[in-house]
Amino acid sequence: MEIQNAIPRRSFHSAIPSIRIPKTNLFSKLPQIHSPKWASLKIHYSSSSYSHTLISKRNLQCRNSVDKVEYNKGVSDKPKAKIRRKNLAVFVSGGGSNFRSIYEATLNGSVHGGVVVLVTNKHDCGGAEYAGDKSIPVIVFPGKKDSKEVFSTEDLVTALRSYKVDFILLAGYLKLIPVELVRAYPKSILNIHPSLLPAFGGKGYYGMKVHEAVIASGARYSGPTIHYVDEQYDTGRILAQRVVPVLAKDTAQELASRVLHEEHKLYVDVAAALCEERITWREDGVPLIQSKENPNEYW
Amino acid sequence: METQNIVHRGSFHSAFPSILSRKIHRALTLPIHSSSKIHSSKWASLKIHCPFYSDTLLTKTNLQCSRKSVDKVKYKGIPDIEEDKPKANIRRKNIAVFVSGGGSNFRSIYEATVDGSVHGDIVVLVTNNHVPQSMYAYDADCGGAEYARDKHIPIIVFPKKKDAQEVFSAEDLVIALRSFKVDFILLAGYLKLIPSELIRAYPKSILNIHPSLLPAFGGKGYYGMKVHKAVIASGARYSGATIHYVDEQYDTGRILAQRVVPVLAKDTAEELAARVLREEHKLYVEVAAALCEERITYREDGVPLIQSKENPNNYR
Repeated sequence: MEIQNAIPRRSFHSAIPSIRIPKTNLFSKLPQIHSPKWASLKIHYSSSSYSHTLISKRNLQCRNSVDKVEYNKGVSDKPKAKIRRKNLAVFVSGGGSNFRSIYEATLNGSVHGGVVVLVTNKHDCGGAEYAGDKSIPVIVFPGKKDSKEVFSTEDLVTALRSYKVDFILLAGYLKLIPVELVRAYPKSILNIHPSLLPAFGGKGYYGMKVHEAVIASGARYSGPTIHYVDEQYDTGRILAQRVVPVLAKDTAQELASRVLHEEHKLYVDVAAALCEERITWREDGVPLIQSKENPNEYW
Repeated sequence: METQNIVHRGSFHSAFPSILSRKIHRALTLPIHSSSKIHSSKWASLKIHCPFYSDTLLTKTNLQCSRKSVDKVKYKGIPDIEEDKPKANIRRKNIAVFVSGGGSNFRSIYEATVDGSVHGDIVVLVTNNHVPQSMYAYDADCGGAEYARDKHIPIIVFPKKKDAQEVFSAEDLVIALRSFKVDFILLAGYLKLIPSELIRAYPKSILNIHPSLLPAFGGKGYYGMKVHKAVIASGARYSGATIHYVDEQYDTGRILAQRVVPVLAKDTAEELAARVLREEHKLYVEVAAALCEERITYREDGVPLIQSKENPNNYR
């Protein structure tokens, strides 16, 4: 084991044993199932050649059989059974209706993956409550400024890695994603936005404000957009969209619920495509989703 | 008549009858065939009435027309819905179309005026394309102009080249359009920014069509094929056409109507452009029809709505 090599690399490694005790306020509910895993993972952290410079999945070296995972990227002729189930992290700030929708899809098999952790900046939001109900660990990030320990972005990255998160799905998370997280999970973070980007996007455009702006503009169509996350609000590559009409007598609430209905369906379809590795990239950098029914079609 | 009062208001008024009429007359291509008689006699009678126009009076509602019945027009700044007027009692509207290029939307609307879908007439075409050496409109070199000549529609070239012999200003354009009794101006691929004098002269009466779902992919630099390239590069899965009222900037006026088309994974810009253009033609004809039948209303928040023809209780 390379413990001695690993420790000098980052100042936080030496502090790992203390921060990671399950009783801290970082993990509001840590079910029994997870703690033994956590205990065993502590050792593996120092044994792996983890460092910021090596943070990419391909470079992960694990010797223990329990950690031996198959990374089957881009192998399209493998039946679904051979494709590894993906680990999803969902980030929410509010009610979490998209989170619930995706969670249910993981249970009924539409989405070949599992929600392994919920991250929220509001410990008492609807999404966090639902996660607790379903025994999904919850991480509060960013923590409050006056909390005893600072849970930094690096800590979040480490925590997500400990859960072996493959993809991060933002579902109404209102904080800007820190650069370190974007770099740690390149082309693996998605966000859903309730308008047809690039219209009505960017700073200040969230929640009901989006729908109010759409109606005020006189636009006759709106709809959800799922896009990859880069270092600014709502500017990453568009992966999928759905369109809904805006009617002459719509209120913002009516439009919002019409769009939300499509959001749920769209996020489940996209999550399914993600977990089944059906995302490809066009020459010009636009991500496409390969149709499940007809692998020659893309949407 | 109040000729003497008005003559003093603007310096150009004293020269009105001579310069302006000559200018406008020269700026127009009047068709050569016999049908042109209709236009030139109209023009002759209008010359007398021009002095009523002045900068301070350049709003439709302030127009004072002589008692001659031929000029008695109803200028309604914002058309009200007159629900029980059958089409026959609604006045046919006079439309000016502005183009810079091929003019496929212009042709589409013209055909609709001929077959009755649109209760109006295109009375003049304005284009900025002109031939290097001459300011004469019959040399105007764009597909739209050619078609207009074919159909005996007068053409005005605006703006003119800087080295043209006479200056044809925005005010002159306004006067010329008023002489044609233009009710609405439809921009159909006109690439120049509309001068503010024209916007003030025709409030809520100038429409533009843009080949994207505004506010996305609009503004300076977004025209023609550039729009479709940007849409495809962004990865957007939907695009379409937007018709909006014109204000003093590019593509920012109130949206009146939109149509949506899908953007397919293997689309080229040309394929997307063709798909959007088909919708543009249908949309502009529908909107022109609604305009001419006075079916545009305004919601409380200022958004313009189109009253459905089939069901007057439905709005689009």
